[in-house]
Amino acid sequence: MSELRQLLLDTASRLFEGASADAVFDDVEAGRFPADHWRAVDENGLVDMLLPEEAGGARVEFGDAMAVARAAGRFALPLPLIETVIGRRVLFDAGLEAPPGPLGGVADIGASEVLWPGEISALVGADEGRVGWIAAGEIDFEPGTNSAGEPVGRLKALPPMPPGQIGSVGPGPSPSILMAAARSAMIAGAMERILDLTIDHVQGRVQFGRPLARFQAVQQLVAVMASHAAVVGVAADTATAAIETALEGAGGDATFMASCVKARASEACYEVTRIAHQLHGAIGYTREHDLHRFTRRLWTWRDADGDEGYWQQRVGAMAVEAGGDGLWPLLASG
Amino acid sequence: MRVSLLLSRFAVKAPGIHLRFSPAVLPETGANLRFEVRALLEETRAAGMWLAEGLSWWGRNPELSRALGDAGFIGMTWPKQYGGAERSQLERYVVTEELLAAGAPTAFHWFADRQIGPSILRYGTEEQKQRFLPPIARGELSFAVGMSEPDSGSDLASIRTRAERTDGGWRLNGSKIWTSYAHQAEYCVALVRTAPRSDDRHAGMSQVIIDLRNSHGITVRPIIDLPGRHDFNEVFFEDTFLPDDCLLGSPGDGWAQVTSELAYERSGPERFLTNFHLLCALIDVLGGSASAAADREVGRLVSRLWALRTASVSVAAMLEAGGTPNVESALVKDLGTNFQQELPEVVRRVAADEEICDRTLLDVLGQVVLASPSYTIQGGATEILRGIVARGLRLR
Repeated sequence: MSELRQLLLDTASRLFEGASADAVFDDVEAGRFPADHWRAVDENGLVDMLLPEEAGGARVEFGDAMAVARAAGRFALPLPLIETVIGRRVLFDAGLEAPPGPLGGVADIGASEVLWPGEISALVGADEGRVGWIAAGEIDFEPGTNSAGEPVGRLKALPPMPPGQIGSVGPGPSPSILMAAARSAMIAGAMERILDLTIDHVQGRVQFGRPLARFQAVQQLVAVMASHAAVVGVAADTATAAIETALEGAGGDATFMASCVKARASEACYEVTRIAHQLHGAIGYTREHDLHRFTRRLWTWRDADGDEGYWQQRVGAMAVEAGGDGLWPLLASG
Repeated sequence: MRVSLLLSRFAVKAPGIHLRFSPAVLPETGANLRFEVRALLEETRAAGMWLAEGLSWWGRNPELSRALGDAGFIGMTWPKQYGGAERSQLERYVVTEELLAAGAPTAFHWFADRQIGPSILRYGTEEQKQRFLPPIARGELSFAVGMSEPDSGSDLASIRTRAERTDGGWRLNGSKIWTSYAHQAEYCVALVRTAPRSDDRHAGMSQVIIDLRNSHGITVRPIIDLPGRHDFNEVFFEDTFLPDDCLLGSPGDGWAQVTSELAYERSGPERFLTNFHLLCALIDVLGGSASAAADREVGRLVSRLWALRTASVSVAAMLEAGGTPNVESALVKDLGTNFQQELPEVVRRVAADEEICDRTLLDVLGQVVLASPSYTIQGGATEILRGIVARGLRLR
């Protein structure tokens, strides 16, 4: 790991730890935006980390930003940080100036949910080759709450963007591809934490005179869960590396890989959450234990930025188009 | 309420025990290599040397293996003095996955290339290396693997076949089972007891190289497998004489030798590409007329396959770096073989939904269904693999 990435991760982890205190989650579930913590991540440069220095950013590598996204997953970070980081980068790349404040996710897939509709300054939207933004106040959101208890605004379709706030997406990974990879990194981080919590629980909890971890049935379930978490992790890292290459203009657009990774990450959420809850027993089904913070976010994040069905369909269409003879070259090049 | 929460949070402060898979990239040289393999396969197939029969690496074709040997694709990581090409593990990975993706029948050289050759290279005497490695690399010498016994399957350390010291060598008694191609291979490398059982159940075992063609007291009994093929055998040894130079490494080192090669055996692309041809056949039949639902099913399989490959390549890079990623490779084999097992079920569903009646596809599907129970047994049963992963997570 580079020194810069380590520094960035240290800063992020310190801030995320503060932002994932009990009181913050209580606030979030009561509909109160954790503005102090948002200010802290902004002042420490995380929000603009993917922008160049002349635009007030830190221009870290995409992989560094994804390491932060993974850390956000590990802390179940209740802030719309990653959406904003990606949103500000794609607007910048399209030659647009992003409004200050948190942004709503990069939506290009019809019906979607936007976190904190009353707090974000704007929604970033993308479609075929274009990206733009629209002030949140001009959107008619249908209010609701997601599985993690966070306020969301639902959208049936992407609202039209004002003409002056639309730009062209350059070559390389599209905004939705960047967001799919970022969400997958968050999912991988949350899965790592869920695995930690589960190992901790089965080693500490004694039944029938021995720790749960001594039972083969329990060991097998943990192994399955760890396998899913590990594959999602390495797949997310691999897609991130491809995106980084593509963003540097060194080839490819990483569309196939990022589509695969979000399909796989979202799909694995079922097994990981199912096993984690099964092994935690009743205490995991309460708010007295931390597990719910992570599993509820996985149930939200698997649907965010395209659920597994959406990405599976995109991957499947690419595979069918490649044909039987073209499938292997598609896989091997990706 | 907050007390238990604080305690549990405190408990996870320690760094988690994760399986470390770093993303790896196949080498630049791999691109050319990939095209060389594809060209050779195309040429040999066009010449009628082989057919993609759906058996993939379980199909045995000495002619194709010789062609691959001539092209330098067998034993390619070994030193040149022993017939190798001194390429990296990652380059070998590229060749291996190309062979699998094409459905090429490679069983003739597969076991020698994957595990026996590397074992001989690592533990063999100079004489053994010179004698066995060059013909293996030329695709001329075929090896079988003798591990399981009638009473020793997953519990390999319970083997009873024993080699006892005698004048100028060893006298072998016992039997091996599930020994694929023992009726056709020239040699077999077997794990046997060279000392009586003791408290250390992993002690007293050694690997021996057995000349199947020229030894006395060997009986090979065919075992027909579920699909009706003969590749399994039971091999009986009755006072079979093995010369001194049959021993691989030092007596008693057998267990360590066998377990050190497990990562090669378990993490490779043959654990998720064995029935890749069925997926290709489905896609061909779907053509441009796939429904959204069929796209999703295909995309689900392809995304899982791609993700598995990232993990498998990561293990190959660990091997290249000199590591022993036994836990990670157990994980790859578990997920990979489960994927392979589910693949025909998905194809069945899509074929029914899309009202596909393409005879070729349904025939391939039928063959794959018959082969599918074997995936999660051979080379380490699922339950054993998950036990290894659990141990890696320090649960046992």
